[in-house]
Amino acid sequence: MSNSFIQSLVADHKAVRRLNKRDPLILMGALFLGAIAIVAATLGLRDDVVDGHPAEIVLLRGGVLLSLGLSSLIAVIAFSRPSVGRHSDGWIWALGVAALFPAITLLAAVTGQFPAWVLTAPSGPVCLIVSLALAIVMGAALTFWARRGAPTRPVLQAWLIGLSSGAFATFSYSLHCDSSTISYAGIWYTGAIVLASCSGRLLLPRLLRW
Amino acid sequence: MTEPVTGYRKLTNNRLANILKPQPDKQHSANATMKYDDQSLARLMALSQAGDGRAHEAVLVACQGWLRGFYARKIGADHAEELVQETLLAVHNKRASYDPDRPFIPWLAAIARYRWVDRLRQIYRQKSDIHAHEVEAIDPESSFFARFSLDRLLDHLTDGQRVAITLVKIDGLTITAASEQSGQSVSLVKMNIHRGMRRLSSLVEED
Repeated sequence: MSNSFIQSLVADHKAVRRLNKRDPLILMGALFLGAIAIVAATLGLRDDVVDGHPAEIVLLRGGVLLSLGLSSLIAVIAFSRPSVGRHSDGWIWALGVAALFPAITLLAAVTGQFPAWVLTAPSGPVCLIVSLALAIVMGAALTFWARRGAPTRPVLQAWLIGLSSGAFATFSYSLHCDSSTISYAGIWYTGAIVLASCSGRLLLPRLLRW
Repeated sequence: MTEPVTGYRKLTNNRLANILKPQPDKQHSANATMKYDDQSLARLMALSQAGDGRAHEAVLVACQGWLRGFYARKIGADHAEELVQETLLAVHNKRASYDPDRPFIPWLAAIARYRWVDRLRQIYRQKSDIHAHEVEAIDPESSFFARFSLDRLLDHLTDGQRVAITLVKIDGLTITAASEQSGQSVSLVKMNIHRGMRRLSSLVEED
């Protein structure tokens, strides 16, 4: 290869702004707060949340969703920089904990303790639609940021963007959600996160390749 | 017209001059090749990100040498040159993704591996030997690529070492079965595996 190629790259060279880890955190933080504000303004928040004394189930599912969203966001940020032998696998543990909700739901179904009303609850489809709509906005913003980087595992990155935006979006909706049963979260919250993740997997890899 | 060298610019030029002092490659002094250590490359890349053209050129030249060796071990020198050029372009376009607080070579190696996998994906698409969803599922960590790289690495071993490692470590035979199949004694199979694995480890570390 002649060094004229390198010379042409040098001629095109100019200062660049480094990929900043704080940018996606600030971006997602702002969108997350915006999502909560939209839910509060359009659907309203749970009474116990408004009173500042949320029920234990709200704290539990909220904590799980936040840890899932944050750990997968951290992985998205880490995987946007090329590296070898670097593992950011906190999201796997968070996903394992979040899987307890559908696992308990499945156990309830097997033992005949599953509350059937959960499947026909009118709020179920609303949960899915609102969570997915908010996840699309967050996922699009995160994808836009990730494209500035150099993700070397675009398929995994796509899953993680869907997972993170889905978890944050579902948390936002959960502050409105009247239900306080684990089975409800196991069906509808899990459904929203799975749909967001699968959408990310199907749509995003081609946008993340470079 | 020459720009006056003052203040930060002068400081940068002095630092650059120090960094740009190439280090002779002790292992291959006969070839008189020059190498930069990882820290120097990291500092050069930081200067490049700040807009220093000389540092950028030095980084690209250093990367060119490293990439030639990297690809030659994987796909052979005759096919490596085009990939080297593609990867240099990627290094140029994605230089904002480098964090100067982290080692440089792993960053470069990850980009090189990504471009290599992307090239393989293109080749398979052209051949249409596998379906689109299988192409999408290609993972750089998959056993296929592990085996592809391993075949290249095995070329660096003696025949005895290659046969012993292939039979025991890849095909899963027992030492006794490998001994019967290869005609090597049991102790020779063990020794070939031991020495071959040690050689493979050093080759992987060179990567």
